[in-house]
Amino acid sequence: MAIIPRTQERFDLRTLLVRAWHRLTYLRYDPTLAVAGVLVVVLTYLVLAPIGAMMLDAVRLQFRDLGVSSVQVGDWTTYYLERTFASKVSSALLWDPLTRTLTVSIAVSAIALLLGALLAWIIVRTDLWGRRWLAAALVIPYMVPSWTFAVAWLTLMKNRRIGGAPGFAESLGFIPPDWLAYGPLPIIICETFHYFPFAFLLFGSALRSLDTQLEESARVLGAPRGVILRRIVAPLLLPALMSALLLIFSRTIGTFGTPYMLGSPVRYTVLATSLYGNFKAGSPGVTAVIALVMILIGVSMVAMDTYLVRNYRRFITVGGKGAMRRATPLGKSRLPLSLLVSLIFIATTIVPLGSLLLTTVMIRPGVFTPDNFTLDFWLSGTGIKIVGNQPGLLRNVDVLEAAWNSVRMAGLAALACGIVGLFIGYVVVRLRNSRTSAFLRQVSFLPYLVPGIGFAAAYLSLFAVSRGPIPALYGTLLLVALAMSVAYLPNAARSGISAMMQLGTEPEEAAMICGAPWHQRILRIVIPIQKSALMTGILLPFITGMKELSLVIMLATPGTELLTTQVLRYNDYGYTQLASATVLVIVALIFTLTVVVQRVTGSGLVAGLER
Amino acid sequence: MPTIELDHISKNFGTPTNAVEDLTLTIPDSEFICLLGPSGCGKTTTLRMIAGLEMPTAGDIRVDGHVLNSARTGEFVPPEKRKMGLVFQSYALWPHMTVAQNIRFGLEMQRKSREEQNQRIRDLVQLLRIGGLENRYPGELSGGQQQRVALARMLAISPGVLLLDEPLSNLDARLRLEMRAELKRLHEQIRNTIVFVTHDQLEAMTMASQVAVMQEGQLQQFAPPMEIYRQPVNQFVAEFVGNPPINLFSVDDPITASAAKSILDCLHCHHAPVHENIKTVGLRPEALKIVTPPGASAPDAWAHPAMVETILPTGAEWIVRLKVGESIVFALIVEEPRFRSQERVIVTAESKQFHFFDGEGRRQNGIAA
Repeated sequence: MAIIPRTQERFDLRTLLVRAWHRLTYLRYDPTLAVAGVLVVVLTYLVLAPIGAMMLDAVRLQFRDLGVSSVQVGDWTTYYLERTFASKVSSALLWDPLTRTLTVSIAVSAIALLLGALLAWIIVRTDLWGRRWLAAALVIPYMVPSWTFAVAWLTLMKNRRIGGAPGFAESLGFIPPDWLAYGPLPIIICETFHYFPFAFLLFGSALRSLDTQLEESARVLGAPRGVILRRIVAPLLLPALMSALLLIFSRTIGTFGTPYMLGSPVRYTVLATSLYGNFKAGSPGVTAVIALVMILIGVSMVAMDTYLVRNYRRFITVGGKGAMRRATPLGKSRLPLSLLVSLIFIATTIVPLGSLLLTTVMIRPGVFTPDNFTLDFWLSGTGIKIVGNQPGLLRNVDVLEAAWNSVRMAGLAALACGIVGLFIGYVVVRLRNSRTSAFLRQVSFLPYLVPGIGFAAAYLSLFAVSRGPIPALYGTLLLVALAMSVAYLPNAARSGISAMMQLGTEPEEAAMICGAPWHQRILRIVIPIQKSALMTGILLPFITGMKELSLVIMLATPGTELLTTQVLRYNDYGYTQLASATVLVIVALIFTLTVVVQRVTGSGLVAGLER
Repeated sequence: MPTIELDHISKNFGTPTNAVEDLTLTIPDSEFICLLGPSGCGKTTTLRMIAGLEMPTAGDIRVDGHVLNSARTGEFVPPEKRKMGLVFQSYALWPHMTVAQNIRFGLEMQRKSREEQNQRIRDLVQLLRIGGLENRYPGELSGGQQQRVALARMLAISPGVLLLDEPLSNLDARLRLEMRAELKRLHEQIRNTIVFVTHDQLEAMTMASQVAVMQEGQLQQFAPPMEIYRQPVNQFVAEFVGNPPINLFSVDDPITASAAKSILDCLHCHHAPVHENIKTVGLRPEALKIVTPPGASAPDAWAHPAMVETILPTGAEWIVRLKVGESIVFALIVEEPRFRSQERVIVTAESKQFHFFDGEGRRQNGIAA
């Protein structure tokens, strides 16, 4: 659809006025340009401005540091850069956490990828028992919040170094040493548990979309199975493999909950927790520098991914019928392999969730005597002594309020996200090939490159103090909702764009020709057709919002707790049972919502998780 | 009924070349006009500019002297006020509405009374022979039915001009034939101006009363179909129209030069001298006759030995691929061939059957005055 053309001719004033008048008429008839203008302003303010403000924080002197150098507050300074990169404390601030972050991320992505790829191959291509069921079950660890495993690990493996109820292992007579209870090993295990289904999903769908005719051609030409695997299948799946590797890597960089819970007891600080620590210590300059380092890593990961995808273009194959797929018979190893895969499911889903559940009904976790079981942690109306006189979870005002906050904020953010995403899609498709369209596409994708905790830091940079007509938003729930909606915008915008691309402009143009004004076209044509895309665009961010921790940990304050921050609070206080119960509430909410999504979209779950 | 004037229209999408370049075309009232050209030649863009879905970068569009679009003043009449209907290539039926709702939508926008709407829907359903489908959703219809619904939806708003974008390209061969006849019947019945876009020259030839051939955004020729076929103004039009395509022999092409020279020499000795600037000679496949030696040919005809490469029977006729010297030529014959592949034959053609083009591909009259 047309934009008003630019011509290079010269005009006198009269002609210019006439043109302006006609343009206004046109804009009323087709306000796409006006909508685009609003979106450009909003995205500039909510995406670019916070990151810009944080960059300024990193190079301008703040009030609290007055006196460390001769410059005045607000002047340019390299103090924060020097302090973070090259001072006596920089190894504690940046370099050690960076090394640890890279260690953890490399280990997690490598193990998760290997495990995920193997499972994908076994489940997609062999006659494993119950593979259809396992394919769905193995995704569960990715649906729950990433730090669920950290909480579960603590209920099982914690030792006397931190307070609260004892762990199962301790009650059963084995006191885990520090290296097993905290630090890199459990962090890597817990994060791997969460991220391997991601590799499994990505790789499985690549494997499924691989045209079997490509393999069959090789077989007809006389290639044995090993050669086919090595020379046909492996090179074709390489892009999916690399993509999964980079995505997991960049996600683990920003993961906060797990290293916070498992790393803090032994001072194993990674970038995300170092950032949080500096923020808590009230050092926005250093916080900004660390956040920028994280963003830089994120950007380079995605840049690498884009580069690889572009270079592997020749490998993108047209999906074939794939109808003649025969499952590779496993023969003798069918039973043991089926058991092994089931065992993985048990270890990554049943054990963590089971241990959380058991913890919530035991006074002393791990002691299996009848008098040790209780429902008090869920139901008690009066304070329970061992958890700081808090009442049972379901009658706990704090928790109920946090739950209500979570639902409200995630709901608000999701609603905004879904609607804005659809409109971005609308404008991008309507103004195809224009600079506005490219701007909206790129800027709405930008938050994807920024780890949640870094994004929160950026939001605090911009919104912690009042600027112009905008009051200081720190400590308000609005800031939480705002940050969430922008952080989830990339996915919403991407699905909005792809939904609108698929629809094209023609249905709306047909309505245009029939004489429907803009609001009628939107309300009667575009939105009804995109109903299910819109619902998915709202529900998926809602689920993500319900389990969000790293983004909100710095934005939530004691007055504005969310369920997830409540978990962390309980964990910090050592209220193990309450922390576990809260995790289970979150998990239950997520499962319910996921079922709703599946009802709405037919089978949106897997498709949604892959992004 | 309206006459549409395109006055020096250009359209640029921000690329170095214009999608439509200085197009001037007058579409007379009640005609069945076809915009024909290869994909990317700007024909759909032209159609969308007429409909009001794109603004021309330069030039005016007028209907009966009233300006619809003027790039100079920015004047713009919105699509719905143009009394035009546009049927999209994809049909663009609204998938969430039934057939009746799809047709009703435009009538609702015109604020017609409920009875009028129902009456109009009944009439259209009958006109387009889609009775019984009113409560189905577009997803439950076949391609041909969708096509008819899309037509009905646009006819509902009683447009003076009906614009069709590649209306038949999504149909299979059989349906296409049927819809061709159907569209022609419709035009004869409602007599409004129809402008349709296609890249299929056969469709253009069979349906249109006038054809506008376009290439790279520029109008090449605007004439009735047979004139386009018999007197193409340039080499592009000659090549684009006709299947199998016209045989071209160029004196500058090492492969076809000998055949070209042989034709020109032959004409030379029979007639007055040939134009100096003729560079290419064209011959339609059906104008090429094949005789088995020692067959006789007309005295002033060109004749040349040839070798039969393959014979492709299509049922009603035969397409023969031959080699004349180095050049490959196609012949279309309606009588069962009395030769086999790899057989030596003689090809012949009457001199008046040849088309002549100069170095720029423009048509030349061939024989100097």
